[in-house]
Amino acid sequence: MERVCFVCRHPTGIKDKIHLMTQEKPVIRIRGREHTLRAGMPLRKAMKILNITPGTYLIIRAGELITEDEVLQPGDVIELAPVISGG
Amino acid sequence: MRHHRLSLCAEHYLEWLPAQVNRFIEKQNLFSKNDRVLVAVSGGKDSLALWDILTTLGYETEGLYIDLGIDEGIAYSSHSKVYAEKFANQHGLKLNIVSLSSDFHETLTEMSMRTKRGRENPCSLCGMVKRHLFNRAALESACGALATAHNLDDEAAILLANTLEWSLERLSRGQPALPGSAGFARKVKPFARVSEFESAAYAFLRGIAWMPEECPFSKDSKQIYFKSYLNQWEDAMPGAKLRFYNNYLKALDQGAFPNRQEPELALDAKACPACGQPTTTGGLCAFCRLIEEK
Repeated sequence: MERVCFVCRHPTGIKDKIHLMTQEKPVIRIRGREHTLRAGMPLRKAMKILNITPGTYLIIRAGELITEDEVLQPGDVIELAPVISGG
Repeated sequence: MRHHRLSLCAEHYLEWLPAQVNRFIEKQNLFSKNDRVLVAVSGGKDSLALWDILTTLGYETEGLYIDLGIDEGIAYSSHSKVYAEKFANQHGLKLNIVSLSSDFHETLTEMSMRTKRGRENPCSLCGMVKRHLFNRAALESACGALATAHNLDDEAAILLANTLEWSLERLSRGQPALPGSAGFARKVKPFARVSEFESAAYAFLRGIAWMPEECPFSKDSKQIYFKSYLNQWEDAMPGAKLRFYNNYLKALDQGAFPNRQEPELALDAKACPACGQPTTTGGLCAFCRLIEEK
């Protein structure tokens, strides 16, 4: 069940833990390789686990550019596109 | 963008970045709206993003693509040329193409294989060849300036490498505008304060299709090594790259480094008898010697 904000009653995007655990695990794809992670994990933490320095990849979810401030959701397929070139 | 302490939605980011670039162009007097700017494009995200931004800002531009004939199993040059041509066609822009194999009957790979410099470091040979051909094309087109898409990550990496070596001559030549003179076209770097991430984000949000593969010769590039450390530094101290570069420009203005001209000018250049471009040797320039030795 998704929680709603106490003040404005808009969905917060934060789901109850049990609900998260039963959903399809999010995947981060880098240069064709897939890494399965835990829903509810902040993207910044996920990138640290994968040893990726922020600012070196574009983060794309469903064709949209997102930032590492976002949180992994169940069923997410996040594409990381490298931006650093060799010259 | 933690280094700017700024968060923007896509719509306003696409307004903000061109405004930042224009501010840099004006502050550094890179060129004006009366100049025709020749933009060196490779089909990569930075050069296409730069060309897009300059056109959007209302500057008169043409593109210049150097086909080096690099294949290495992935048809690298052919593939990257397609992206440059596609962008030019979509935006109704003129793209000038110079082909190494058509004009000089040899690809960069073939040149690399037959020269000591090329075998040891193909990137060094590539740099010399491109600089020569960029200069030749810029002089022939009589453009106001030749713009390359060197970005903040490139500039900071070069700066770090040159500082570690204390290469004063190279440190004296890192300004965003190198003035034109007899035999040398004016060369500018409008993207020098734009990070690779910002450039890529712009290209993505604008729907620009860019060459996804890197040059196969760049795999062991020292630049990637320096950029990796700089980005770790940036993550720990947002704004570090920009401060490094900005303070370097201030040091240049304060005369911290000697000999701020092109080395050929500083050393009383003579013209190459084959191509007419400046050279210090008194005989053929490095490029024409390379061609003649074939």
